Amino acid sequence: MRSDTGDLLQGTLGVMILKALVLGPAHGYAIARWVEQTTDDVLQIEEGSLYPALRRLEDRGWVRSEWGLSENNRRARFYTLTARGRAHLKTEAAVWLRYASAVTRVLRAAPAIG
Amino acid sequence: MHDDPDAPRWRRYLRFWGPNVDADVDDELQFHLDMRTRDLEARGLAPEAARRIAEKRFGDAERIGAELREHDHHRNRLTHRRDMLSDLWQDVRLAVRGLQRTPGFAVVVIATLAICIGANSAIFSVVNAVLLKPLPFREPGGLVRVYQMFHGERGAFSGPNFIDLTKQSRTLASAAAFDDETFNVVGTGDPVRVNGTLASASFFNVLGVQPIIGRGFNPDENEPGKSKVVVLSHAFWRQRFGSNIAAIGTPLDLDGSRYTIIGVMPPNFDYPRRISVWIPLVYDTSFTAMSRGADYLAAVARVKNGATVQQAATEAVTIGRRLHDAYPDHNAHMGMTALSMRDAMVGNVRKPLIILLGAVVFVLLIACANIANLLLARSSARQTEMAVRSALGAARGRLLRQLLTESILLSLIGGALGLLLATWGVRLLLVLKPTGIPRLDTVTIDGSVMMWTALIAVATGVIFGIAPALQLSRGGDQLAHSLRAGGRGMLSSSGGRQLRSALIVSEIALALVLLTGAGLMMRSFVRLQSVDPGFRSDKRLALEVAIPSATYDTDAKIAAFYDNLLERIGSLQGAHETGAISMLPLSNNGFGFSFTVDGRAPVKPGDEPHLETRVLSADFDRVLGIPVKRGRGLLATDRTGAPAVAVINEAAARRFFPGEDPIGKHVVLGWRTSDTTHVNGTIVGVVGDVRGFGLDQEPQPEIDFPYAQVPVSDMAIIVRTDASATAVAAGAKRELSALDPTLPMADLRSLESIVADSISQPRFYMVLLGVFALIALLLAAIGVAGMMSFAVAQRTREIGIRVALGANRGGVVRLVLREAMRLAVLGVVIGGLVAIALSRAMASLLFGIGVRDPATFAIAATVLAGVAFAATLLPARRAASVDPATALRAD
Repeated sequence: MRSDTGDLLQGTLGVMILKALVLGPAHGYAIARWVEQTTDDVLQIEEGSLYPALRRLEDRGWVRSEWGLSENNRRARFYTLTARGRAHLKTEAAVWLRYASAVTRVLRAAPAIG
Repeated sequence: MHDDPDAPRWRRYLRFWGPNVDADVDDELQFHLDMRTRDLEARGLAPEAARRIAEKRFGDAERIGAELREHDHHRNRLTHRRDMLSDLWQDVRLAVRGLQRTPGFAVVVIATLAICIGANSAIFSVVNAVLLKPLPFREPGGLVRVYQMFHGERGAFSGPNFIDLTKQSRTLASAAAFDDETFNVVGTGDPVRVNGTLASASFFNVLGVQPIIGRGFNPDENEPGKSKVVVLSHAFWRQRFGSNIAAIGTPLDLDGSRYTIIGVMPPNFDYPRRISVWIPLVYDTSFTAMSRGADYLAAVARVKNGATVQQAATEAVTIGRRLHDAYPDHNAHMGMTALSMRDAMVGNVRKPLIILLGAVVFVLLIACANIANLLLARSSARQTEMAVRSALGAARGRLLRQLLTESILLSLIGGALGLLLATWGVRLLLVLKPTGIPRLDTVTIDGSVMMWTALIAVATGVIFGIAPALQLSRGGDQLAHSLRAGGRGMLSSSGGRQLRSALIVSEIALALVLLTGAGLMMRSFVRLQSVDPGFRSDKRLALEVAIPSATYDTDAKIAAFYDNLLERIGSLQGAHETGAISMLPLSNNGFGFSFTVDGRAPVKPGDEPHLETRVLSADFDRVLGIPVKRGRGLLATDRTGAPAVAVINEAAARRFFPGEDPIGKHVVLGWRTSDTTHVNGTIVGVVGDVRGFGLDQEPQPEIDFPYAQVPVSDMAIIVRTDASATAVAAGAKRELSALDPTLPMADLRSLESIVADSISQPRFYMVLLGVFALIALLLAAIGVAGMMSFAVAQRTREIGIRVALGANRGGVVRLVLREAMRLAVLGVVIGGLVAIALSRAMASLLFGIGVRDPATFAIAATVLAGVAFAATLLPARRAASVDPATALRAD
């Protein structure tokens, strides 16, 4: 995968995709839209990189895919979170949240940055 | 990526054979771009701008698409492989479980297969070693044996003719002449007698094999005076010199002449055959110029790059004709021919070995028929299982595959056990010690034998499994029907019965072919064995002795030595009579000379008649029980100083003295004992013929001289004795070393074993064909019995009704027997026709009977029909004992 995308973002992308799928099966575009809307387009991920990330998740058995029909009746590949994927998301999210809150605490600690 | 989203639709049909990875990746990415474009358009962007922004946001679609395609292809392959393996694993597990349920069936089938596949592997290992493995020379395909022909038969070269061949040939790159001799080796250790080859200096280069230690011959070492060098075989070097490299450069005495050891050949090099030493052939004047009529050399040559064996053979014929015309005196009946090295070495055993391989394949096919029948019988019990699996959604192909997996699993287990049996069987084969089959000592179970076994095992599994599997997996409807019918019906239908009958008929036909082949070999062998060799072989032992001409350099010394030796051995405990002959009968060696009879008009040198020539002790005819037909045999009084005498055999008398009395005729041989004297003698008697060249060969005209008048240094002592061979051997060895401690001791052999060895090859083929025929007969009997038992079991109800309606027991027995015999007779007729067609191939292996020997055919057919009849008796009696009440209540 692209080397200029950092490991942090790689891992983050995976977690975000898994999270997007908690709502239910979705095709790649829907996942992109969900991330975009949820983050107010802050992360600005390159949409194409979503697909290699999905393949990696699929290889690890965290998501599975099948062909179905989209809302406008086109053939689309739908991704579904597997039980293993959900478990993984849970631990990953916990780690991530703990990390984020620690960083947040550090940054909020007195004295204020100014 | 495609601009038009509808364009690639046709490609989806490719998914028919599995996922179409490329199209799927394109579709997925295209869908994303289309959706984004649509959303952007909905926000009011112009279509082109919307598409541009969508592509920009997506990133490098080409690169990502390629990455995904690669990934998906890879994953597809993995999935496919995993599916295959898991299917196979499932089939194997099902098969194992199925076999565990019927262990008796599995054991019978595996045992049958192990024996039949093992026999195949054993015979193939012989074929492989003798016929298929590359000859142990460099580029053996380019090697030819060149023969000088005499009266149209392949024979030996004379030196001058060989030299002319090498000078005139345009297709041969190099050629070497060679001649086998035996030598006494004296020196460190016990004296031994070894086989050696005198060869052109180019010998090793032509064959393309060089010594592993030291060197081969230098080009000038054929010249007189430079030829006292010797190359050792690896085995001889090991035995005699303990594999000591220091042996190189040391002297070795051969027949009293001193040679210097210059090299040791590699362990697997043994050409022409069982050779211990190679020494240069001396190209002296007698070799190069004088003796165009003396034929004693073999010739091997390598064709030039680009030339073929066929071209070499054609050229040899041309050169032969040219030499024939150029030297009408000596080459009057001469020609030349060339054979590929392979044909020369194994050409005469190729046919019998291929016949054996064919026979053993037939045995395997019979076993296949038997097992197929067993499977068919068993499958009626398995129809319910198949119907259930089919109803649960297993496709017919899947069922077929599972059933074939079962049979191939059986045949693979059988093949593995067969390979074990073969390693043991090969040793058993070699116990029969057939002489004259080259390279038999190299027979091993190697990679190619294992490959062959695996191949044959899989093929066997498919052959015996396919028909029952097809039958069993046929159509879901029928299977569902069989479910309703309570697991009966289909296979007792006429289709199933016909298939089983066809299998039995072909099995009987194959068995008859084998039985006929084995019968022909046996009858031929019995005839061969009952041929009178012309001498008594019982209670007679032979001991070959050779004395070096360097020590025994006069006729008187040689004669005195053998007089002495005969007397000493004759006085051993248990020795009744002793005699000596220069060449043992059935040794397959010739010693022929042209001759003239005094008082007859001289003939051209090339047209002279030939006589096989032997040198004997006095009273030799009495020792071997050869009858004296006219005149007298050689007597002790026929010594130096007494008139030179000879006896001839009846063949010589018939051929060369028709209508006249040979006794009193004086014969002069082409055999010179010095520049001026020829061996000669007045015929004093006619003795019975002895077959010297094999029991299947007519006796050659022969003349015998007393050794007291014509001494030769190599003789075989024959002892008539009641004592054991070991006792006589010990005594003879003692006497021999007392007489001359430098003399080696050759093996003591009984004349009976010499006679037996001379027919060991036909015996080998006969025993093997006999064993195969016996197995075939047994399999056919089991097949018929099994088939009829099954038929009786299937028809219990019908038989019950017949009995209930008043049919008597005899009628029922007849019914069953009639059906069996109908099949047997059909099989015998078909088999007979096939046997007639195939037996022609055996013509060259048979002695004294024709390939269509009616008696053999009749006996084989009767035996087979009788066995089929006997095999049916048990099921027939069971049918007769069917109790109508039980039979009608069954099911």
